Amino acid sequence: MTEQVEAPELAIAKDIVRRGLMGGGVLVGICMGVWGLDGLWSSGYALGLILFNFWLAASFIAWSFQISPTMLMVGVMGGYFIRLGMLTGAYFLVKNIGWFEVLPFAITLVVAHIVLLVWEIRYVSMSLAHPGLQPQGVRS
Amino acid sequence: MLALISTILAQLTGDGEAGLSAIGAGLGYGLAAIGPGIGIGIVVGNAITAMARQPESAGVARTTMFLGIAFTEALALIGFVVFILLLP
Repeated sequence: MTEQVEAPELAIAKDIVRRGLMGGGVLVGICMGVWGLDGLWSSGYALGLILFNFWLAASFIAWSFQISPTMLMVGVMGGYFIRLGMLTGAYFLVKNIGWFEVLPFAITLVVAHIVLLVWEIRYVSMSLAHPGLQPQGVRS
Repeated sequence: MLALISTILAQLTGDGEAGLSAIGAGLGYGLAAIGPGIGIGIVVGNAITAMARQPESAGVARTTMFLGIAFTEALALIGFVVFILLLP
C-alpha cells in the first residue's frame, strides 16, 4: 500500500500560511498603531491576499504537475497572470471604501511577501529524501 | 506617438496631471509585470529540463521552482504597489 505524499510546494505554501497567521499580526499591529483601525483592516486585507496568493500559486503547480510538463508551464504562467489579475481586482474592489488606506495595504503586500519567503527558506529541505519541508526532528 | 496618446488622454480626463499619472501607473505596472513573467518562464523551463534529465530529483526541482517563482513574483508585487501608489 503506497502512502499519499503531499506535493512539496503545497506543504511549503501551507507552512507559509501558518507562519503568516502567526507572525503577520506584528505587521498588522504596526499598521494599526500608525493608521488606526483603517490601517488594521487594510493591512489585514493585504496579508490575507498574500497568503491566498501563496496557496493559489502552489495549488496551480501541484494540479498542473499531475497532468504534463506542458501543462505545468501553462499552469504556472497562467496562474501568474490570474493571480496578478486577482490582486488588481481585489484592490479596485475596496479602493473607494471608507476604511481602505493605500499605504498600509501597499507596505503589507511587499513586506509580508518577502519576509515570509525569507523566513520559510530556513525550513525548506533540499534533500532527495525529503523534498519540500524539513522533517520535524531536524527543524530548529 | 506615446506623447500624443498621453496628451489626448490627459485632455479627455480634464486633469492633465492626473491623466499623465494614470498613464504612468499603467505603463509602469505593465513593464513591471513583463520582467517577472520572463523570469518565471526561465525558472519553470529549467525546472522541467531538470525533471526530464533526472526524474528522481523532481521533488527538489519543484521545491526550488516554487521558491524561485515566489521570489521573482516579488518584483511584480513591487510594480503593483507602485501602480496603486501612482494611481490618482
